[in-house]
Order: sequence, then structure tokens, then C-alpha cells
Amino acid sequence: MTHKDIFIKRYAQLGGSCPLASIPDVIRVNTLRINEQELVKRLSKKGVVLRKIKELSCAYRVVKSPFSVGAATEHLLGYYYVQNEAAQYPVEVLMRQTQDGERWRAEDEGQTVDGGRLTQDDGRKMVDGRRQTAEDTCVLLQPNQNAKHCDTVLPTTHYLPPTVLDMCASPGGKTTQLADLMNNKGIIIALEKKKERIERLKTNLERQGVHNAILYHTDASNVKKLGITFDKVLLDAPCSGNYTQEDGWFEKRTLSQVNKNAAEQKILLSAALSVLKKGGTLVYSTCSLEPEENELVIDWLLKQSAGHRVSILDTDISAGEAGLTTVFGKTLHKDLKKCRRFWPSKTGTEGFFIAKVMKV
Amino acid sequence: MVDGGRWTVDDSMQMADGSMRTASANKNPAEEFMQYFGVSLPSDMKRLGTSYYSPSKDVLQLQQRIAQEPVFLGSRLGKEIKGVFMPSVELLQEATQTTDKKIVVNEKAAWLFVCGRDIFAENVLSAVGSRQSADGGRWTVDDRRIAIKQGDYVLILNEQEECLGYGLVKTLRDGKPSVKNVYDVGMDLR
Repeated sequence: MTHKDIFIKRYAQLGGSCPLASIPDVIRVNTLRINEQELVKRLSKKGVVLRKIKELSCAYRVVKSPFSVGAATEHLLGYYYVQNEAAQYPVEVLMRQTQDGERWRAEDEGQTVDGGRLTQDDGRKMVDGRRQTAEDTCVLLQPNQNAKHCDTVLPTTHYLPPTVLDMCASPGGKTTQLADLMNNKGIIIALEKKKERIERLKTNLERQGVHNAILYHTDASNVKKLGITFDKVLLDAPCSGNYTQEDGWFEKRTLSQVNKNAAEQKILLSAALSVLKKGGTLVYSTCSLEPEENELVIDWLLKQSAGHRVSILDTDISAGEAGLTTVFGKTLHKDLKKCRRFWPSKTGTEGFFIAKVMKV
Repeated sequence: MVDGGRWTVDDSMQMADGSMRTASANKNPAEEFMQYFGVSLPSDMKRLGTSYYSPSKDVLQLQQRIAQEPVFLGSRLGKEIKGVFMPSVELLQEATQTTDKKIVVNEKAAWLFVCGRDIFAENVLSAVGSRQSADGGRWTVDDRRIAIKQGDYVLILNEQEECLGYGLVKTLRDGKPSVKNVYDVGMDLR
């Protein structure tokens, strides 16, 4: 039995399949740089046909283009980022307000998103002198409602900007997406372990007009050494990837590599929770289809194996399908159905897995 | 010169290949670029490696609580590679608002420029103090107004007046400059 046979058999057991899906290019409009409609108009004039993805803030499928969308002046100027559809959901889920997250809504209607009413000492004190509480901390920003160039108006309730951790940041697609949805307010601490990936990340942060990121060249498993805690954490973990991303993927991967990755992912997840504030939210994602790197990692977390009390939140997206609650005959925690799993053959995107977790 | 005077090809601040020399006069290349194109210097400029940053107060406050040295800090103004200052897209756009040393080129030349090519005079649509007639024919030059001379650095703008980089004026005839590419926004991706 070849590696490919093994993986395909596993996918069949999990309810998936793997016909070679044709995945369309997707662009994400960078509203820090340009108005969404203006960009669509400009690209249309050049013969690019776009179709808006309704569930995402500013994403468009490229239906037709006379040139590679990565080779346009608008791309070089940072007006958009070429980013797979599925890869855009983790940040949307992290920044989206869910029912579970309602208690994070700021009660002080007078707060401004520019942080003007925070004192300068530690960014966590209210102007009236009292310490900021979980109820004051407004860590949730609504996609489309805060980006200055998006068409939707600001909500009447304003939010204080959060401190967000992006644990494995390169090449920066999700970091720049975070900055866009945060409208460059608050702070993003981005970490990258591999030196050879740092330059590209820096270039993308600059090109996309990110002003609120601080990048460290460090292993995310050491994040506690930074000495600060976060309102939100994005752990888009290093993983085995999936067969839509490279030719010959099946021949290059083994189950032992999958298990090795899973062990590393648990270490990172544990580190992430150690710096997440109580009541804060974490999104864990991978572009792997293997349950050992996805549902089984979250199941491990729910059994408090990492020493943290957590609950799984709804992702509040309809894309993909519910996470698996039975894997190869093993029954997992029922809340895993709140996670989302993207089978390329069903979604037309690359493979993905997303879980949203709250520290309690 | 970066002291507010003229910066010519004979100037000692220029390298043989036309790029801005960066290790002189106690000024860093980011400051030299900004002063040359009339951009106000930020009060809080930071250098990390070969990059220059202008972090916000909030970014600085948080960074100061962390012992480790960052590799990116807030807003990057640009970086220096082999003596060439590579300004950020944002700094280029800001400079466009503060200088007369800029030219607008046609669509074809704009695309070739971001692919690393030089600008030929026939593709220049306008420069401050000189312009092509509306019918695309004769150029008129007002010597009293012309802001660009041979040896100057100029910003290269497309027809939407977005800055795509900068270059060095090699020749100037009847107000039409030919420009050697020094830096363009496509350089990082090549």
C-alpha cells in the first residue's frame, strides 16, 4: 500500500475524499490601503472578473484574469493580498463576535477605538482611574465595521483595541489581515521561528501598511518569556499541509510525520493558553486534513491535558463542515462539532481546520 | 545636497551607480531620503538592523515591556540594501505630496519600471514645470518653474499619480527626463 493509498483510505473513513480540486485564486482587499469598491473597479477595467465571497469581509474569488493576480501594480502597492479562501477564516473567526463573546462587549459607550481614553501607562487603565475589567476590555472588533475604507459604518458601541498574539506569523497573510480588521489599532505581537521566513514577513507587513505589529524572531513555544498576556491568540500551527498545496504531497508525507507535528502542536497550544487572558479567545487552525493535527489536538485540550480550563466556542461561519466527533472508531468530545473542517473536494478551497477556544 | 540645496551627479553623496550613498554626514539613509523629498522627519525613528521604523506611542510602550529585541516595530519607513534606500510604499506616497521632483509616466512605462526597467523620455507624460501638450505632441517648458535637473532624484508616478519608486535623471532635454531606476516597488518580489 502506498502512502497515497493510506491517506485516501483514511479520508474515506472520515467522510472525506480527495479528487484533485481546482482551487481558484482569492484576493483579500486591504482596506488599510484602498476602498474595496475602488479596487474592484480598477481590476475590472483590466479585465479581471471577481466574485465576492459573502461570508468574508473583503474577499473575492478571481473568476477570470488576463494576468497573474500576483503580478499587478495594485498588488505591488499593497492594495490586496492573494490568500486562499479557507486561510482567511481563522482571523475572521478570531475577530468576530459570537454569542459566547457577548460579555466582552464594552459597557462604556464613550470609549473610542483610537484608544484616546486609555491612559498611557499600561494601556489597560480607564480614564476614570479604575482598572480595566474583562467587561471593559473590548477585544472584539467587528469585521467590516472598523476598517476605515469598508462600506459599512462604525457601530454605535465602540471597542477598546486588543492585544493580539500571532504565534506563527510568516508569511504574514493572517497578520496583515488582523491589522486590517483591527484598522491598525491595538497591538499585534507576531512571532516567527524560522529566520529565512522573516524577511518576507517584514516585506508583507510593510507593503500592506501595517502599523501596529511588533515582530519577534523566536520560537512560539517560548512565548511566556515575553512576559505579557493577550486578549486574543491566533495559533495557525505548523502542520503537514494538504494535497492541494503541492504536487506529490502524498509521497512526501508519512503518518509518523503527522504524529510528530501533532506533538509540536500540543506544545504550542499549551504555550498559547499560558499567555491568554482569562476570558480571552484563541483560534487554533491548520491546513492539514489529518485528525491527529486537528480534532485530536482539541480533544486533548478539552480533557484538560494541557492544564488549562477551556470551552469551545461556535465559529459562527457556515463554510466547511462540523468538526469530527468520531475518529477511527474513537469518540471525541461532543463540542468538537463546533469546529470547522474544510474538505477541498467539498469546499473548493484548500484543506483547513479551525477551532475557537475561550479560556475560562 | 540633503542640506536643502541641489543634489547633482557631481555630489559626493551619490554612488557611481547612481544610488544614494548612505553612510555619511551622520544621517541615515531614511533621513536623507525624507529630507531630499521634503518629508518631515518623525521624532521617534528607530533603526533595527537595516530597517527604519516610526513606531506609535502604543507600540513603543508595549515593546519596552519586553526584554527581547524585536525585528519589526510598528511602521517601517524603509530599509537599506547594498547602499540603496528602499522606502516603503507609504513613504513614497507621502513624498509625492511634499516634492516637485516627480514625473508622471504612461501605463506601459509604469509597468516596465516596476519590473526594474529605466524610464525613457518619450514615456514621460508630465513633470513639474514641463508638460506635454494635450494632444500628446509638443512639450512646453517653463525654465522658471522647472523643478528637475540632470542628476536629480525623482519619484516615478503612474497615471493615477501613485508613486512606484524613484530614479536618477540621466538626461533632460526640453523638459523631458530619462530616468535610471534606483528603486521600484516590484524589487522585493523579483
